[in-house]
Amino acid sequence: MYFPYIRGRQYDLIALRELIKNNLVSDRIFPIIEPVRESSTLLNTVETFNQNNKKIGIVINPEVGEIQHNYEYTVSFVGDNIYPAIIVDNSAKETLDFLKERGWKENQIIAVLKKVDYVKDYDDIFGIEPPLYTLFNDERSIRRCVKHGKIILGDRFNKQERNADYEDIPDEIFSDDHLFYQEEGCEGFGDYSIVGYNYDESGFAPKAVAIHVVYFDDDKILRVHHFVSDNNFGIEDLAGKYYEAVSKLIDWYQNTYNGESTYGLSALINSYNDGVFPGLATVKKLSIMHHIELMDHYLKERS
Amino acid sequence: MNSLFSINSVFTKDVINDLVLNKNNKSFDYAVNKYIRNPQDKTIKTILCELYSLMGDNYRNEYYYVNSLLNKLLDGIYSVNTCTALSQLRVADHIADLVTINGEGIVYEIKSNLDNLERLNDQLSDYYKVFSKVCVLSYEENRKSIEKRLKALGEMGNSVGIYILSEDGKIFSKKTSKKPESYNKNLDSYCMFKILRKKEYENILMNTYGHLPNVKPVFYFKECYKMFEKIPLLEAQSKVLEELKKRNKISKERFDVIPKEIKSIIYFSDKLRNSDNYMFMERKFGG
Repeated sequence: MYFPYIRGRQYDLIALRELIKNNLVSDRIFPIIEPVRESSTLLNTVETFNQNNKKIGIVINPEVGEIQHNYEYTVSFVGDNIYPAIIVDNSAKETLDFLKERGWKENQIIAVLKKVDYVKDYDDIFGIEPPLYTLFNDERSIRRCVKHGKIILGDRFNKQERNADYEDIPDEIFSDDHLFYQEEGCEGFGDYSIVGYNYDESGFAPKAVAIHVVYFDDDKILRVHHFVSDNNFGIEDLAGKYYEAVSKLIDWYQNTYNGESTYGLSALINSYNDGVFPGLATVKKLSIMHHIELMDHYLKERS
Repeated sequence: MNSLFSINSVFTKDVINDLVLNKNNKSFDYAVNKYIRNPQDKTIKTILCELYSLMGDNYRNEYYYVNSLLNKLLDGIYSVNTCTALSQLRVADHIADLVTINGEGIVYEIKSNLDNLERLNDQLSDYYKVFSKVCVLSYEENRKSIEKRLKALGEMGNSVGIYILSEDGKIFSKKTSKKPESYNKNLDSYCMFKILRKKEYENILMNTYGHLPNVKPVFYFKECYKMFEKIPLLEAQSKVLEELKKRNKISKERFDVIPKEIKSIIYFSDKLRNSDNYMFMERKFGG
């Protein structure tokens, strides 16, 4: 199974919602959402998963964003297909207590263990009754203590300071977790897609447009290609810069890419044909959708 | 100098917004408790007044300069009916502190004693790409250093105006002022075009040509620029100024009632400019 780990930004959530609405993914995809603010988009995304009997995890104690201690809010989303997730940090114990008061058991909860500092907390809290799954950062000291329901969680996106910087390395490795997770005794693997782990809500006027598209190489390693605009000095003409970036995507798609067509990729290609700029948030949404749909195809083929 | 650093965050949109809405604001509370004696019995108006005076006496930051300048220009020399001021305007690769538009456009670059002059010449050269008159507003002790820097700009440097914010708050005194002269040799079509919002350049093109380009959205900006570029430089500048002048509209009545200490915060905020609720000024800090 693939566990895309998504912070609750509006368009990132919409990516998940549209994957379900358009029937693009199977039960092999199990997203984990870390809510960062109260939002109606979060509500209708969760509702969409529920209505379609698709599973999803919601972090009750987010480590970033505006609602880090608002457990009442985050817990309001959990239910049949919606599993509570706990980030194992200083707030894990109280979060678990909070859930247990509401009738949740450890084996219905997903643990997220990102830092080696909290291995002891993980042992204390989940040592006796293990969680349903544990998403863990792939380090030796952490790996050792997770015994059941192991899901590797890695930050595979090599994030640059500025969009223009992606021009220096237009193509790089993204992940090979999908090739090795089983032989490492794991039930699945996850990552932060092409958004990356760092959470940054600061506004900015971008000077360059960068589109990140993942694809499998001949050895089935997942790579990412960065398509960057050319005129990156001022903040004007974002639409024109988008056109420069997506033109490169079209060229690559026609001459190099030999993977499946996905909804996200098709939508990006359509925008080129129509000469329309869908907005940076939508571009990110489509890239995330492409990534997840591609992983679903891959897992389906393997089984 | 740094001991008054916390005053910086008081005269900001965020604080004033919170005061208007009667919400708590940490930056405001911190500064009040630090610098004001017996704040509980004082009104917000009195407190802002005291903090502003404190700034004027001890810590003349950029806000103090901008606000002083705006008060003098729009409440004295010109009127808001015929003059528009813009702040933090991106011009080429730099950001102009204050620009006034009333028939002519004048840029004011502020150099308080918290700023250094390193980038001055680069900033001024960029402003001349769009505007014909540029000035530096600073303090008396800085004059010589500024004049020295300007020499490196040759004819352009000679055109730069110099104004001094005196101890007692005067700016346009004849004795200390050097008026800017027009300098047009750096005007750049693309820089002028980049300043405009979409509606603004569309207005200019409709006005000049009677039509807009008929192309797909991703090509629209470039095509609009191709049309704009054909307009002779000075004519283009005039049309740009006409559009900029429409920004930040406010009536004289509204403008006059804004307390002078927060004149520029209100004037430069679209949200605050359009509400005239100054009741919060009469509220006591203690509640």
